Amino acid sequence: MFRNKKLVYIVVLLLSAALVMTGCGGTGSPPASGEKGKDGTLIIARSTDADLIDPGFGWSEGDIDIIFHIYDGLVKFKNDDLEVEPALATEWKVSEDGKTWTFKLREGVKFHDGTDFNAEAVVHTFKRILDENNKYYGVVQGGYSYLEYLMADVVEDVVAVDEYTVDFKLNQVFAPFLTYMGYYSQYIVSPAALDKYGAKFPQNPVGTGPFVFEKWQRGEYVQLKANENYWGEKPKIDTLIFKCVPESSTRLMELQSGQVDVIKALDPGQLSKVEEDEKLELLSVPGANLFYAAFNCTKEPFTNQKVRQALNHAIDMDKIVEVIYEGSGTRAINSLPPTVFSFDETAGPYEYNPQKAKELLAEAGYPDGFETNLYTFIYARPYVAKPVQVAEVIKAYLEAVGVKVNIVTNEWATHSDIMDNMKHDIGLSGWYDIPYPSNFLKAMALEGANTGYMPDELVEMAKAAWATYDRAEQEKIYKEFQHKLYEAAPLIPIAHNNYTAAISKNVKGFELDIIGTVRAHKAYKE
Amino acid sequence: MAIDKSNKPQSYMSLAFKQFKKNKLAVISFFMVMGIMLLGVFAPLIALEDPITPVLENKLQPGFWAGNKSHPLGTDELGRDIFSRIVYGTRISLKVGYMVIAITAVLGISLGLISAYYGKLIDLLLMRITDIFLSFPPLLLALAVVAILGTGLEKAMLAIALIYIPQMARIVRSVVLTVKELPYVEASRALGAGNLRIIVCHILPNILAPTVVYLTLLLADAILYTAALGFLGIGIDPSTPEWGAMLSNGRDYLLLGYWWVTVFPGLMIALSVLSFNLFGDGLREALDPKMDI
Repeated sequence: MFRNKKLVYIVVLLLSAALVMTGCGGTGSPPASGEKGKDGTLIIARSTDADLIDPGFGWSEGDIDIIFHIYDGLVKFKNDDLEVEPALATEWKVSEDGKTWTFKLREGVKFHDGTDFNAEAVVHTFKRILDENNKYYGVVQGGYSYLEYLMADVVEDVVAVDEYTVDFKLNQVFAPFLTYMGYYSQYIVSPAALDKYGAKFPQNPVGTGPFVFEKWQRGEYVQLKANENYWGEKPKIDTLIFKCVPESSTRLMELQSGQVDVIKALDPGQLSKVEEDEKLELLSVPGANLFYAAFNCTKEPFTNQKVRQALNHAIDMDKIVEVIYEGSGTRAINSLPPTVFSFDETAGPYEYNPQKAKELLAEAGYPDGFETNLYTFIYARPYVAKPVQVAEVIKAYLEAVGVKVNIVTNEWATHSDIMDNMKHDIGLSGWYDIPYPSNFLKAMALEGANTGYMPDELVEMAKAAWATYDRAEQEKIYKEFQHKLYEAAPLIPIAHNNYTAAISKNVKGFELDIIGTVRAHKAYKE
Repeated sequence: MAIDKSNKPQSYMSLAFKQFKKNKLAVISFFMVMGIMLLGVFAPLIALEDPITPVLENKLQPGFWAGNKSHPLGTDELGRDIFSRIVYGTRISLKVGYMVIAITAVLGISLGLISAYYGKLIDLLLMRITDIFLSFPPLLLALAVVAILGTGLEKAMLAIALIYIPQMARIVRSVVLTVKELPYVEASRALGAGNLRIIVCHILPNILAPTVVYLTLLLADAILYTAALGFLGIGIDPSTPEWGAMLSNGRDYLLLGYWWVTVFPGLMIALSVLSFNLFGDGLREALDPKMDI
């Protein structure tokens, strides 16, 4: 009996020892900020991990944040109007016919791997995605390329004129060209690193940016260190860590306990908590995004413009923004976010007027309303935190004017599949993009919103706006475009979500930009 | 000679009833089950408000502990009265539960009977098909069915029933296998009874006890799976007051201090599942002749 007991003790001891050891031997979490004895480390907690840290192929929020820190573009955004200023290019000009852009490159810049930044690097950055004959074409198998999406139709050739001059030859005047050059997908990668890492380049990113890639613990964190040889203003912190913390409540707890310095994407309900906390500061910017309800304009009864207008009148958007966005957003006037240039505040909105909605429905031949399906998705997206609740409120508003609504919820993948195949009646969806008018008016409202509404007149207008570099001319066209879109009402614009982040008060110089990416370039801790 | 009362012949049902009465927990659970059913039946009379229409002005109000008389259990994130939603939710859970039981009973019993009674190739074929269904984790099977059929309360019922039909068929089959070899079946056959008469008059009544017990326990499971599907946000219109969906919506508000949005639907799920389970257990003890005394 005694012997058995002893055996039990030994087993228990061994087991607990094993537990302790696994605790120590774990691949570990990133070092806590205080560990190094100085505050040179900034930790940012986000909901996602990175996927492909490669300007050409990364496209999720998790990648873009990091790409903006490791890489530089030829130009960069100066302000929220997306005017640009020099970065890797010091000056640029466009030819008389508007089809050739010439960039003078900054001399003496080196990639993190020590190789020189020159015209050759710029050419390979673009051609590895656009030109099948380039030696780096297909080296990285990334799938969807945002660079390809933006540039493939217009860029004919990229030519190195000399060591520090590059020509971009376009097949048409392309208004957003310079703006797009400031966006992450056009940032310059190191050809030497493409040689060295091949298909593993997205896991070993090499650029010219203010931070150098150090290590990546999949699913846990990405660690960067300051670039000592940066050509511009050097970062004030030594180490920058992007930590993946999926639960929003856990993120807030970690911030409050000082384990992280910055958290991204707060739940609307958390905003007041952050504001009440004396040690925290809330960053909130009006986002370049739109949450909307798209009508299937190819299906009865939404083929009828009066029905679409009636439903626009039936919903009190201000209430939705107040209650579900908890004030962390703005009511949408039309399809274009107000922060984007050429926005016309007179092109909308439909006022909340249930009586008028009923009259319009009666005029359209539906005095007793009709029955329809409202498709929505489950989890938060950058433009909405609570899609299901919005659907429930819309349902109540529509039923008040006699339209019977069944809500159909699905996972995002199934939901977007339904929308893409035009199987919906009304579908909730959203858009976030570079704040350039065509991205919301053409890429979204005409092509991407799954409304099936695409009149030739508007397509022609979108083309015309692209074919001029004159901003005043563009504004004129885009304003008219907004009015026509407002009249036709192929969708119900609901709200623009604010991008939010919370930081500890001792973090200074940290920015959250209009695209929703974080900028730690000038951040430091007191 | 005095008559020994205890030796007086007693019917199976009255024995079962005595056995059931001995089990205190079962009796309590019986009254809870009745209470839940009455809650569902009289929902429109008991509920205080419309459980579906949002009243945005009233969102996230605390309940009786904060002296709120008009919303005793508080309101949810869209201002709907949680008490009323729970009361109406009873209807949905019970509706799903009964429908699942009905579908499972009809299909499960027929499959099990046919399989065991006719045996041979039919048995082999049917049992391999049930094997296939049994090889999937239950919730995954339900999710897959919903993904194929699309969402909706009826489809959710069917999805949950599909989890149980194979299990039901298995149980029925095993009982029928023993029953069909018993002398009274042989006797009946010797007297010239046909297959249908044997199945309906002799086999069916004798497999009812285990079947009923299983179906009662299944009701609790069905409520739980409906809640799980609702929790995942899949299956039904989110504005329907379904307990699991209420639980899921409230989750985001739990750490912000609005605990009542989650706690009350959660309690209700726990309470109803527990009552039905205890009731089912009580029934099993009472009806199973092997568990006598």
